[in-house]
Amino acid sequence: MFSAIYIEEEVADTARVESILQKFPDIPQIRCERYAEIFNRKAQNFRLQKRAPALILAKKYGKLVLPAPAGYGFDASASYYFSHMLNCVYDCRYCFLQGMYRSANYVLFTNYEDFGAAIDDVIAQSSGSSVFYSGYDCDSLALDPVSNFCRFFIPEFSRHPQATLEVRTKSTQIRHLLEMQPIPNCVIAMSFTPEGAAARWEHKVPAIGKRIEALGKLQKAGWKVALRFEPIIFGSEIFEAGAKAIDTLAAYRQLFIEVFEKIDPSTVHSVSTGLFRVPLSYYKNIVKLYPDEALFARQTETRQGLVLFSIDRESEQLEALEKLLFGFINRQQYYRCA
Amino acid sequence: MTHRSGVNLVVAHALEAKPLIGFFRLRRQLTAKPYPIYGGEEGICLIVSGLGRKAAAAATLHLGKWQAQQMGAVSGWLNIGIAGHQKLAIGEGILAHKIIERASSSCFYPSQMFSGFHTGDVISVDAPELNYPENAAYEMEASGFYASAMRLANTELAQVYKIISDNPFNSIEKIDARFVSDCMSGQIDQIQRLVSGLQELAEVYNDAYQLPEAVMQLGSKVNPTVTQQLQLKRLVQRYHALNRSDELNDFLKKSFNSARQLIAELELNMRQSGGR
Repeated sequence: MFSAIYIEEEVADTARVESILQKFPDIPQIRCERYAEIFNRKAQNFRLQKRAPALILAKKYGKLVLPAPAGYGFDASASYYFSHMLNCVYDCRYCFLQGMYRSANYVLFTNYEDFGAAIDDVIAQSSGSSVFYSGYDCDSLALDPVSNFCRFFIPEFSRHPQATLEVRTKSTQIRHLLEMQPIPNCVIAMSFTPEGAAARWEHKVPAIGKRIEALGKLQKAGWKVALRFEPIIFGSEIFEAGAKAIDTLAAYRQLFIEVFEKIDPSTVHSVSTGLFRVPLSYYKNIVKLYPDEALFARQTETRQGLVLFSIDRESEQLEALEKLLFGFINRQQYYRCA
Repeated sequence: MTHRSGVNLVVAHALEAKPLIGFFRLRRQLTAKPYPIYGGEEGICLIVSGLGRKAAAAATLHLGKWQAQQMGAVSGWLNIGIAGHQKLAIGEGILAHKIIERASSSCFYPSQMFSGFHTGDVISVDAPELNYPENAAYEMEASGFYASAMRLANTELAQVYKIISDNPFNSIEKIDARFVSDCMSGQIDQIQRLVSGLQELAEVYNDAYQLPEAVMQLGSKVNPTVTQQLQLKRLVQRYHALNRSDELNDFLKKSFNSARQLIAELELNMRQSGGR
């Protein structure tokens, strides 16, 4: 699972870290002063490192809860995100994290109590409702068996019914959630792309069927679930593998049918779509990392600092896709990510 | 040399080098001076650096520069040598997961890319350590080697492997030529595994990042500026990534008034034929 575990001296003797280390007695355990010595150093190659990533256990300092980027999320309320972890166990070729970090190692900040206190503070200062996103810099559920993220943060939000937690994921690691009593202010949001795109770009990610099955179990257990159809990458050639060649809309039709066979749309919290979009500086890093990747050889354009793939009739295609989606859900459940 | 990506072995002493030279069938490269450098058919190179971290650092950089003139591809780097240890038995091998330079307290963390090896701390000292105060391998070259290797390759492509030659129960005094040879030979299978692993990683790296030949070929037709060279490189990479390399042959046959014209036509052709 990990090639090594690096442990910051400051957290080495904490109960949470000791409990994680006990699970991996055969993996090299290496002490370090600060996680940045390993994570931020120069002369690393994210692509090579992804072949054997390590886990870094560290303490997070500074601002632990940050305002969510504009256009991220489903609610006009005050939105925030927090990152108890940096990097993802999956290897999605389109992911912006590849361009954001020098290292492919996973950093797990284990001072959850500090995160809890920071969340308490932000909620106390908010006049109305607020939304907190987890899974912006990582996939919060993917490492849950190791991190015990749910066991700490779900009870944290159960004390704050005026605040909503969205856990964005592609993981099927739902055991801890199923063992808990669902809370009304937590949304588990699962991301999907169509079969052809997932097969081509979503490496190490659970199969679409498994993700739908996991989300269905959560829904049946009483958890609020949401659907994130992101990133949308138009371009029919991605689905032209052999005899099964279909265009983008047909691929999404298949996906929607598969999803809504198992997920009851009437109780779905929200459904969103969003085009592939990456900050320009991250995109440049990603291209340097994968100069041989066909996806990044496409024509691009930059809008307000974000790189998008150039698409013929973009609005028309997006609207067609939305129309397709509205055959399964009602419009009030839907939002388009900016 | 064959097409395989290379691995460079940096060894302090001729006695440590001898079993490796034999095993990898290396031959002295007569043009290489002032350090003894050995090369072989499989892309493996060995340099004898002399003792100490400064010597290791200098030799590593020297080999990197010498090689840059010969090939241009990125190689793996491996420092191999004997070391003392507080706990490990004589003849055991240890892959460094942390290198501590005692004189400066600097630390290096080689990426752990290979499984199945005993790993541990390696402490680089300036004089032989006879008391073995910590649970670590004591030696004299690793930190110098690693600092230089980081200037030549990524952290994933540089590793340090030490073979235990002395410990509190087997004094350093007992080390002789035969003993060193036996220590190195006893670990040759593990060394070969590391060399193969590094070679594979370097191959992955070079496959991904080596400049397509067409960049140079097209560039030589139009004398591009530095910026134009970068634009040309990215365009050629895009043609390759989209499986449209054949189209570059048409451009190689044509003449262009300027680099600007070549780039414009490459871009136009990319757009007209889709490029997405």
